[in-house]
Amino acid sequence: MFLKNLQVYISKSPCAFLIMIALFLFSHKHTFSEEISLIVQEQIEVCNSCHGVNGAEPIDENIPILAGQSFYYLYVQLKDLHSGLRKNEVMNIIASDLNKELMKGLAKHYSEKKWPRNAQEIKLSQDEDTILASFDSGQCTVCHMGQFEGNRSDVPKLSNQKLSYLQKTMLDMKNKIRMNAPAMSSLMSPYTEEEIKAMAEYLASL
Amino acid sequence: MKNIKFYLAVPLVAFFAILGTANAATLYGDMQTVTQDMLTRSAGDGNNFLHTNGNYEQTRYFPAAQINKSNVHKLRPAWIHQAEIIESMETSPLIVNGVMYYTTSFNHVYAVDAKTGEELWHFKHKMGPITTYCCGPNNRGVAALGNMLYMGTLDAKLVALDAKTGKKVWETQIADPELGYSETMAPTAVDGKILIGTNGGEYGIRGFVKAFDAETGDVVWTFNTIPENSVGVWATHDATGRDMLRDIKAEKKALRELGDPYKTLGGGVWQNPAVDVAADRIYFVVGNPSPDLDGTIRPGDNLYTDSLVSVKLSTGEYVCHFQYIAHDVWDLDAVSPPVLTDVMNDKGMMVKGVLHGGKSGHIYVHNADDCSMIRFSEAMVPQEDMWVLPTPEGKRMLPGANGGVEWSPLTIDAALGLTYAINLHQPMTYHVESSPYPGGKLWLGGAFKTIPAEEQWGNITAVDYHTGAIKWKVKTEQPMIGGIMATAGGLVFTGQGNGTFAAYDAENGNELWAFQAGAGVNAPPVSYTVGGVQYIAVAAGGNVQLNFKRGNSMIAFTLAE
Repeated sequence: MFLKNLQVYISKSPCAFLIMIALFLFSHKHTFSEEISLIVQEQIEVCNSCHGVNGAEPIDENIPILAGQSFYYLYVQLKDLHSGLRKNEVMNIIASDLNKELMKGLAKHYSEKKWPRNAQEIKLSQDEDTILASFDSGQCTVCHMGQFEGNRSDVPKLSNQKLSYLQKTMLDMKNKIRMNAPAMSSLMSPYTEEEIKAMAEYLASL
Repeated sequence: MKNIKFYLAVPLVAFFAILGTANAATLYGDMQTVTQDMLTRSAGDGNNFLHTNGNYEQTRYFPAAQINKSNVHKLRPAWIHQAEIIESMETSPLIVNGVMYYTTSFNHVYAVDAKTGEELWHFKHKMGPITTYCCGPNNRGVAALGNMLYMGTLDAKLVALDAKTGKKVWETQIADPELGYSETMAPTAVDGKILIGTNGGEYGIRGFVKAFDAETGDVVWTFNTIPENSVGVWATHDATGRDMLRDIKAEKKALRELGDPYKTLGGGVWQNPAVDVAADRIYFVVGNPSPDLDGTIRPGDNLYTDSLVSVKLSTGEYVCHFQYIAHDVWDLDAVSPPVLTDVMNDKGMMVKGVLHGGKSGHIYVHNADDCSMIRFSEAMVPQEDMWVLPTPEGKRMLPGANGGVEWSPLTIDAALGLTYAINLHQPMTYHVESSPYPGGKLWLGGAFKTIPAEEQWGNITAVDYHTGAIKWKVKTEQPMIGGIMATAGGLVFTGQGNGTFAAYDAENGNELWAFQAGAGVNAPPVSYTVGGVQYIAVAAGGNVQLNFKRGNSMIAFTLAE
């Protein structure tokens, strides 16, 4: 019956039929990837509320800059926050609802943004040679690369990151609070709190 | 008749011109494509540099003598080619018929005119989103076969390129980068196969050497460097007879409770195998166990980590191995590529031998037939408190975890019976901290820390491999990493992190020439001859592992007019 009515309708109004086809094509519900994209966009708004526009202007000194970090580092951190391997009260809740595609979408989004110039007035608490010796001792640039710019993959950029975030992260590693990077936890163990403070200051000042 | 004389005369003149200027320069094949014959006979080829380490034996001995002790002081830059990437350069260029192919960090490949430095093409690998690698985004070069080049990538692929155009012909995934697999070594081309190992000993991989079909990229065979039974013989002493202080009772208990750790035991292969085509054998060294410093969760000898291993070239079937350090908890593993050469055995007979420069600071000399050790050399660097066990607070021991001899290839001058190594002296403390397998993340089981108050330095060392005695040693102001090359001109070339690139008298170590490259020279030098003129070439890009000044230059030198 429907088909019969449709035939009558088309014969009377071919133009309307074309409009109907167009509506069908263009108002069809979104593809899976489009839906993911939409959800990522929604999620970005949530992320930006703390990490700032483009993940580049955190509202708090303990919140990291995300813009320009590498895709894989961001993805792994989201995975670890999702699973609880990396502990953070706020982020564990937010990440618990994310699936793999969304995490990849978010990581891709922020990795494609530009790192902001994060001008921080920092007075080093140790002389620079002492701080550099601390970095040399840990062979930090083997993984974090020259100028601590990260390795474009699983090792983050540290230079010019938020000071409080850097210091807290390194202390959390030393004190076995942050345990999703076991090699870093081991590496931080022998450093004193004073050394870590000075290293964080140097990194943030870059 | 006149024409016949002309046709005979031209090649004869050319031949003697080459002979006269570059001595052992010998033409093999049609020079337009890399044949198996050229690859097999490359040790005598004074024109091309066809293997990462010069030839299948990996002697890094170049047979031309146009540049020699008497004239090396006239060596000057002929050209400098600058790459796009300014980052650590560990590349050993290949030179085929006047074209140089070299790589940079992040898997760029360049083809340049080896006479002028003019860029012919530039290939940038489209890196996948996931890479996990230690220690730096390095690449050590390509392999050449037929009209193709082959490169391993940081995202654990094998890529085949058209050597004339730089266009990608095929690529294949070697292993999963999310689990810590990556490639920085140059492949080896032989008998229609492309051989390559894997990085990942710092990530809990299960290491391997694979052979791929050179035309299709299909896997021909795989040799797992970690057998399913990795326990071994519970060796209590290292290759030199020193007690490694293992707690065998505790390890046996752990084995009962945890089972064999082979699935995540590491055993990367960082460098090219030596190839004995006639004997259907290859020889390679296997790196450290995972996690590096924590032995409590990997009981047993951890076969075949820290070992020389030989397998059949045609099938990958195991032939023999020799383990230097069983159950290593210091990362003093085996990375410098082995060298095949005739050596004197303990009965005074010359036998086919294998040399390896260990991170421990010794040159190990083996019988190639069964991998057994004939001798080990005097220590090239200070050794102290070997083998004190790592503790949470850290224990000092020498050498530090970079060696000894790192990945840097050796070279030899067989006429002198000498092998040349570059060494590091980096005092470190070894810290242990147990953690479970982290699923493809960096997994060291502790940390190595250099000691800021203690001086670091390096050596260039010549060792008589027939006796194990050190013939001469030159101290350098920084630890040495990169590589070295000997030539028929009686010279040894190597570079330093401070930018110095120098030539030394192969017999006594006297410095005969030096050049300041402006960035760390931490790559193996090569040599070649084009148009009857011998060149020496080396990359100056610094080094990420020792944080030496970065650069992006490939520099070719030749004698001033």
